[in-house]
Amino acid sequence: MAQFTLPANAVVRKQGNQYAAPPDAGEVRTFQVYRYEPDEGENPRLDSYEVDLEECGSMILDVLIKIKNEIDPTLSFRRSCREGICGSCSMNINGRNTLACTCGVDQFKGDIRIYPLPHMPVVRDLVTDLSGFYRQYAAVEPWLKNGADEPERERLQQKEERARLDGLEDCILCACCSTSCPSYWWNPDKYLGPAALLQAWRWLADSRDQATGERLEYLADAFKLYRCHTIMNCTQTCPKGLNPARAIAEIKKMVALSKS
Amino acid sequence: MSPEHPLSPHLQIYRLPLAALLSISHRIMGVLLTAATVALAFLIAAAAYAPGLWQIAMSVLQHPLGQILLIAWTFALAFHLCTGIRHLVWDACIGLSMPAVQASNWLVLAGSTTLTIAVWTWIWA
Repeated sequence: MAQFTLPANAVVRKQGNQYAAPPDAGEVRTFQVYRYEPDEGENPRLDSYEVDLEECGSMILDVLIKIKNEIDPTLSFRRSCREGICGSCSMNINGRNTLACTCGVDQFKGDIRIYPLPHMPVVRDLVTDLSGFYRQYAAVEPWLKNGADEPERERLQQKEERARLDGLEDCILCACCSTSCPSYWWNPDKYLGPAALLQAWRWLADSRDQATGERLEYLADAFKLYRCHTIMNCTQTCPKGLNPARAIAEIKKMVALSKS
Repeated sequence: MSPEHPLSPHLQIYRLPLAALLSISHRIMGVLLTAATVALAFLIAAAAYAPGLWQIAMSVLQHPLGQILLIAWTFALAFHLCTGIRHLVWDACIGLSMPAVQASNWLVLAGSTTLTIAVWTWIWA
C-alpha cells in the first residue's frame, strides 16, 4: 500500500539556517534549499539563502554554484556539463523536476524552493541514491540483441527505420520522469518507471533488434509495465522534451497486438 | 531502500499538473460512482416496492440536498465517461503529445460540464 506521508526520519524541519544577502546587494532573491547531512543524525531541513542575482549567472545551477562557492560550501549537489546533456543536476525546482542547468531563474517569481528528486533515498542534500533507477535501466537489457552472425559491415537501416529512434535514444537518464511519477513513488521496486520503459521501447522499435518476443515477455507484467496509468507527469516534466508516456503506450499496444 | 537514508519529499512538494489532477479525479470519481450508483439503485428499488417507500424516495430525491447530490452524481458519471474515453484513445497511442494532452484536459472538463448541464436542462424542462 502506498504511503502518502513521509517516514518520521524524513519529515522536513521547516526552518533551517538563514543566510542574508550582503547589504550592498542588487536584486536579491531567496532560495530555499533542502538540506540533509547524514552525520548530524537530524532530520532534513530547509536552508534559506539570499542571493544577489546581479552577481550571478542566469540558471538555477549558477545560483547553486554561487551558494557553494561564496555562501555555504557544505551544500552538496551533482553537476557536470552545465548544458543539459549529462543529466547530473536533475532536481525538483518549485515543484517540478528538471535540470538545474537549463532552468532559468527568470521563469519564477518570488522565493524558489529546491528539493532533491522526489521519493528517493537522500544521500546528502540534493544528492539522491539512483542505484535502484540504474538497476531498472539494466533490467530492460538496453543493448542490441541480434541472433545473426556478426555482420561483415554495419547493419543497415532505412531512413524511416532510423527515424523511429528519434526521441528515444536522446534520453540522458536524468531520472526526472521516473521520480515525477506517482505510480513510481508507490512501487519504486516493482514498477520499472518511465525512463527504463522508454529505453525498453527504444530497443523494441529498433529494426535491427530481434529480441522483441523475449523483451515483451519480460515487460508484460502487472507491475513492471502496467503500473503506468497515463498520468502524463513524465512527459510533462522531461527536460529534453521526450515522451516516455507515448513509448509506454506503444509497448502496451505491442503487447496487446502480439496476443491477438 | 536503505532505511537510514531519509526519503525525499514527494506529494508534499510536487506541483501536480492538470493532467495528473484529472487522472486522480478519474479514479476517485470511479470509486464514488460505484458507491453512489449502488445507493441510487437501492433507493429506486425501494421506491418501486411500496407506496410509503416511494414517498420517502421522492422526498429524498426532490429535496434540494438530494438534487445537489444527483447533479454531482451526473457530473461524476459524465466526467468518468469523458476521461475514460480519453484513456481509450490514449491506449491507441493517439493524442499523447503534450499539446494534445493539454487540449484534451480542457475538452474533458468542458465535455463533462456540458453533458451535466444538458441532462439537467432536460430534466427540469
